[in-house]
Amino acid sequence: MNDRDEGEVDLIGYLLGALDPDEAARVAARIDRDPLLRDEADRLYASLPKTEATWGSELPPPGLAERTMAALEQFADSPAAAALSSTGASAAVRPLAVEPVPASAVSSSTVSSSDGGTSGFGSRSWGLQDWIAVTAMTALLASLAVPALINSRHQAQLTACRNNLRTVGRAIGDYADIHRGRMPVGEPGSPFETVGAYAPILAAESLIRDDDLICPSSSFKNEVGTFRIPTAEQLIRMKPDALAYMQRVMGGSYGFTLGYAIDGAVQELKREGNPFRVVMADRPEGGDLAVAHGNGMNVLFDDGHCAFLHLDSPSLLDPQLFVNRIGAVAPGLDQDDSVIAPSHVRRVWPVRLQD
Amino acid sequence: MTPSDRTDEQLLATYRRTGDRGLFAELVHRYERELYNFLRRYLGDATLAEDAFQATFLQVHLKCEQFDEGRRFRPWLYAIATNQAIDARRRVRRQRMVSLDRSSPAEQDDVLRLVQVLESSEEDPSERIERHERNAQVNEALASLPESMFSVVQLVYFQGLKYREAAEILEVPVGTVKSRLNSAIGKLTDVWNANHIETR
Repeated sequence: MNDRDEGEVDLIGYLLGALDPDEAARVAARIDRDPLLRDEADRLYASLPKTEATWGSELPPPGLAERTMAALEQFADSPAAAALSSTGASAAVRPLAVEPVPASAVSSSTVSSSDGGTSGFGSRSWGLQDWIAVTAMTALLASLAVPALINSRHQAQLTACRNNLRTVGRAIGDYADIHRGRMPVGEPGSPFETVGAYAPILAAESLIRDDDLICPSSSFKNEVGTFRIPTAEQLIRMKPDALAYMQRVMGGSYGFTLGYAIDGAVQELKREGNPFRVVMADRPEGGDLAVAHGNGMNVLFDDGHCAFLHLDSPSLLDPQLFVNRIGAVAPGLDQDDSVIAPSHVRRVWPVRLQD
Repeated sequence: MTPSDRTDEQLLATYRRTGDRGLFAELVHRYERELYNFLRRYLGDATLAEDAFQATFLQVHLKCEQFDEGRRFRPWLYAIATNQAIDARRRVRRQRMVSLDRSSPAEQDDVLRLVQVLESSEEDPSERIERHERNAQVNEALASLPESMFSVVQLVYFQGLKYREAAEILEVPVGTVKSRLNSAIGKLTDVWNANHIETR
């Protein structure tokens, strides 16, 4: 890069064609009239790795587009597509099972009071029996449809929550890649000493956004109203009361790992890609297991994969995910003792025994 | 107006309204080569790229209701494809962890590319091997980049997108794209130059 009177010149962006046309034209003009800048651009270009021909444009495998369309048709006919249809997703692109009834077919004249004629569909008005039959059918359909609707909404919320965890998991992975394997953990004694600090730490590097931490099923959203992940500067300048509140909520709808301690010494929290170690989960509420999803919770594992764990089904998890093996809301006793804590808990040993 | 005369955005808007699969097929054909190459390069494996390609368009079908009118289709498509590729890479990493004794698709591809290099008759075999080794080093460095940098390199460096487009796809500020790209290019350049000097 070259700092000149006219500001910084993004030569890499220019050489890669990544600049907008106006900016590219400005850089080209600067290079034209500045031999030193031209030399610098030449040197930079020579030093850039050149892309190999084998990485260049190649023909896709024959029939790729056709196979893609066939997969789409196959999906559209599957039960999964039907389930999605019931949630209203892509309503216009699924085949309609029945012809829509035009508004004229249910005009007021058609449903006016009975004139005592015979029952049946035709030009006559509807009778009492028709209304009873329709009411009964509506009740029957409602009894079928309402649980399905509730279930589909529950599924949608569950999926949205899991997508959040997946996003945060990806962010933790990226953070660990950049910071030599370390997880987003703050310094003890600083405003970042609680487990919820993972949020401002990841947000500071543009790895997560506010919405990523809100589970749509969680009561958290109603508790805090508009949720914003605080910046480091905001946390540092907060008065004690405000800081305590922020430490309680900044982890969003999720709990974060307390890590583990050996002989009372809390170990540095590193990402190890362990597919059995839980690093995040729906926030524990009231000392019990998370109830955000009624019969279970979403969890994120150390290797980045997510799963929904039913509370009543056997799993690989320690059944008491929110306390360690001796029942304390404190770091685990070893690598396999996963403990997920709400935002305000500090990573110290021990914090408190379970109530 | 025939499907081929319509813009991407018009095709998607009409498909959303009518469910006409012919319009969707036009979009798939339109991006078949470009998007496949993007995914092929991103994932380093032809089979994974095809899977991700199909999954991308399935997502386009499922999410087309969410596409904002006034937005451009291409960055939206790339955003979906990039997320599919990121997920695929993560799945491959997990599989590698549980099957360390099996060579990965990327490694198999690498062997295949080496064979292709050796079979090629366009230049001296020793030069080709050197070049292949250099590329393998750069690719290895590329694969070791954090996902956030890797995505930026794929979109801007290899796919030739503008900073602004990459920022829109990755939903980060333009400045973040620039800084990630600069860091990544710095690392790749070090590997390239170290290897380039060694082989000269």
